[in-house]
Amino acid sequence: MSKPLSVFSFRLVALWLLALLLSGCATFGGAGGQQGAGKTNPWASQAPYEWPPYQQSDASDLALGPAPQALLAEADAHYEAGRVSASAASLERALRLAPRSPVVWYRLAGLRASQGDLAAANRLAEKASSLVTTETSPRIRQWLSWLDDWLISQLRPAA
Amino acid sequence: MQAIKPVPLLEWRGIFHRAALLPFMVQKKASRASSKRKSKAKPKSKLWWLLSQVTVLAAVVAVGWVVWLDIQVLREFSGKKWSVPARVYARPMELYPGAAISPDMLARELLVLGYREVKTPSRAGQFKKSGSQVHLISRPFRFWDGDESARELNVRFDGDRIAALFDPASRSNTSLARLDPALIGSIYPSHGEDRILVRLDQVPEALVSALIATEDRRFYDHWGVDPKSIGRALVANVRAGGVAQGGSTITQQLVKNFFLDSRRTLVRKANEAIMSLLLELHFSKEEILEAYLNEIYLGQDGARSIHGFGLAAWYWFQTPLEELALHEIALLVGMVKGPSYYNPRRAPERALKRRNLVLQLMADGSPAWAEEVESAKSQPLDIVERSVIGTSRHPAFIQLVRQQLQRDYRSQDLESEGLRIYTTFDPLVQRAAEQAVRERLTQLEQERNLAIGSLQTAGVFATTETAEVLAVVGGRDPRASGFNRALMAKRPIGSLVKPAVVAAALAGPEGYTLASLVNDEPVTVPLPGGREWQPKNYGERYWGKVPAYEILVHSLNAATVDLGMTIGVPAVVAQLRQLGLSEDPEPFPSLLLGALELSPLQVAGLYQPLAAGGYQRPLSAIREVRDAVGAPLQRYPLDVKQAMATPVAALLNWNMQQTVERGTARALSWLMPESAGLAGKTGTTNDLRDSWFAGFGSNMLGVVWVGRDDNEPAGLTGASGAMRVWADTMKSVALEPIVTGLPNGAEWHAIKPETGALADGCADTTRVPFMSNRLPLEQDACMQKDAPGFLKKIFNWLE
Repeated sequence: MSKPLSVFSFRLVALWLLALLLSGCATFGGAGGQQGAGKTNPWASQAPYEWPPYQQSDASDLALGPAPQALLAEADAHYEAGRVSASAASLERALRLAPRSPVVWYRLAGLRASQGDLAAANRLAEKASSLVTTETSPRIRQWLSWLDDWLISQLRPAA
Repeated sequence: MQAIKPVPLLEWRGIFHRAALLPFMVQKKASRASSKRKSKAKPKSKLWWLLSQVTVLAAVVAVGWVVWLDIQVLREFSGKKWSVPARVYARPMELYPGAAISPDMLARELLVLGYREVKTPSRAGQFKKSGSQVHLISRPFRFWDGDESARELNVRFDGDRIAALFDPASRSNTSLARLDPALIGSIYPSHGEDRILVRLDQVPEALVSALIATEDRRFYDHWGVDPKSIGRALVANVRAGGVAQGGSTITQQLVKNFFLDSRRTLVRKANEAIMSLLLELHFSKEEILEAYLNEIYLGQDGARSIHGFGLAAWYWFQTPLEELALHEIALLVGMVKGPSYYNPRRAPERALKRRNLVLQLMADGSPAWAEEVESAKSQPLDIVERSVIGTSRHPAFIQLVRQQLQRDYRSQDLESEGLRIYTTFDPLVQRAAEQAVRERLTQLEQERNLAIGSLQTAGVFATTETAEVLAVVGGRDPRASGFNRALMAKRPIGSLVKPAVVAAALAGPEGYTLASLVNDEPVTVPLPGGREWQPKNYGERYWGKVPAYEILVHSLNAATVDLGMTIGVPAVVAQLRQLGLSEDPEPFPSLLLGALELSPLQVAGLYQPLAAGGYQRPLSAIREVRDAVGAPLQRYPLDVKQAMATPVAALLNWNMQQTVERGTARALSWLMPESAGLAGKTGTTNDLRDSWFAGFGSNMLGVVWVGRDDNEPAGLTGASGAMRVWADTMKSVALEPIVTGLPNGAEWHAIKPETGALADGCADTTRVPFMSNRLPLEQDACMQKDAPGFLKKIFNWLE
């Protein structure tokens, strides 16, 4: 009566060990396997094209308050560290604070483009340009059309 | 479907080093038994032999029994996992300079979160409100995009907006802080256990002390059973002539709880004792204590049973366990003995007495507590009247969450896997809507001599651009979890369909503009089978030839049918589909006047793209889902698609603002202090059966229905019923006006309203927005007289 139990238990222990080992591996594998890590950030300054610098001094021009501004910076930091979905979450958070800011929608479009979802990127970019109104300052319009051109150039290969 | 990591009942680690010993131990016993048998091969006498055989048999049976119990213990405690219902969280409140949050709104949010109002905040979860300042210490919380640590903040206000966030630690202003999200409910089986798991290191030291002092003073010294206390209980039982007192240790109580049989027979008691010893053999004291803290039954909320101290803290005090004060801890510990008998809501005096007994036992056990215990004894019970969590509080919204989750998760996973669901729910908007419903419906019934309680209502409130559902009203009683009218009651939408008719005309090939003249005269539409349809205007008043924008302003039925029959009903169906309608209505002419039955949620979905510059996103109640240990499972990323050209949406926004300014919704201006810049549309169906209102500002939209469940006439138009509930709700939340300024592809022009002709720079004109590529073909005579230079000047001035 006790013998089968002991074998059973022994196997169980072995199984536990194996399971523990496997789950441990899975955890380590998961941490390093963040999707999108290593891809170049189109919003980073080292991009191979002349990119309108995004700096604090532009805040008033972008018509963004300091809070969404801070979130855009946070999104950059996440992206550069390879945390793409955290970066998207920061951008969406910025969007909730500034839902009619064409800049934030453009940034989200850029992120989707960098993730390879060019169709979504295109839709979001369209949304961004739709938010340009007659009251948008000429400088922001210029800035955004620059972004738009860039995005179109990125999207072309998929079209 | 998601792969979900189960929640282990006890840590595997415990089973490892102890369970590994078990087979050897059992084997050892068994081998001793068999060697005995060998030595008894030559019996000295038959009796002796028989006795030894019986002994061996008894030993084998006993060992077998113990082994069997051991399997039970292991299976029950390590193979099974906690059944933890999914936890549903509201949106976190974002604090930043400029945010439309008043001191009262922030204080209300903090109370929903279970923060305590104190004189001087000294730890997380406390705040102080004084005039135009709120001083708080936030709780730490792990979000999808990173951890928000606990921080001290001085929030300064300027009227109804946040002016600055001062961080006393760094002595500087900060640009942004996020509060922890309110726990608003859970998804548990219809009859089942609800719990929030806690780790031992999250449990206040006082709770462990109180528990041990009250339930099992020698917990750290015994091996699962405590002979001393059993002896004490035995004496008491003999005196009482039956089983009256239990000498159960915490371990025994835990065992008893797991085997769900509370009969107090001797065999049970013996089993319980053996299993307790085995449990102690396999697991550490800490593991047993942690399991006990999570398992114990501490109350009943309808069909839901409250298990574990983690949930009990929320259920009775609306606070995380870590933040409980000593007198609150003692109350919970006191309830272990009988949560129903010592229910502090039903038997407050009894509960108070029991609580103070627990406090006394604590002080007796350890003098270190004496001082705190004395002040705790004089505290009131401090329980909350009704718990904010549990689906009983916001059943309508939770139901929507559940509906959306069911696309991705199985029901049993939602009910047992401890998922954490982060939603878009805004407690402040929900509260405003519930209050509006409560007060306004009664008032309407009284004003109009309607039977009290005859009116019903439903509503959905959402953000415009991001299409996040903020609040759902499922009926007049917001706690009723039955029929959710916002999701399930499908009613004819009446005039709410008209913006889709106008949109289809503006985008269609016929070249309509808002200034095109339409016929508002009695009309007869031939139907198949020789029948005829003669739609009538409200009050049978007809306006003759009017610019198309008057259709929405005055909700003109005849003109809508005239326009709709010209562009064709299929074009309207196509427009509705583009706006996100999931069904495919038959293109009958009656559709033009809203013979289309939809739920308030569906209507809100149709209006969302109108309020968001033509970009549609299916209304969403969920932002992200995490598993029980906080690992991300799923995000619901933001994506939009164009449902309508942006200039068309802008034209309709202007048109629906006109409805509020001077049309069927003009009463909004006296229903709420700020109605400028809001857009809306009223809807009323035949015989005043359904009263609808759909309206929006730049940041929020809302759809409200008022009517009767039996579909009898309610006696209310859209403006006299639903619009009032809508206004009452929106005036107490931060609804912002629609931004002025037209998007690219749209421009302002002056027209002569009598002819619809372009009349820039002329007298007696109306300013109307047009798509740049579609201006009125006709120009008024006055324009041709003027010099182009002059015209340009006026034009510039107009811009």
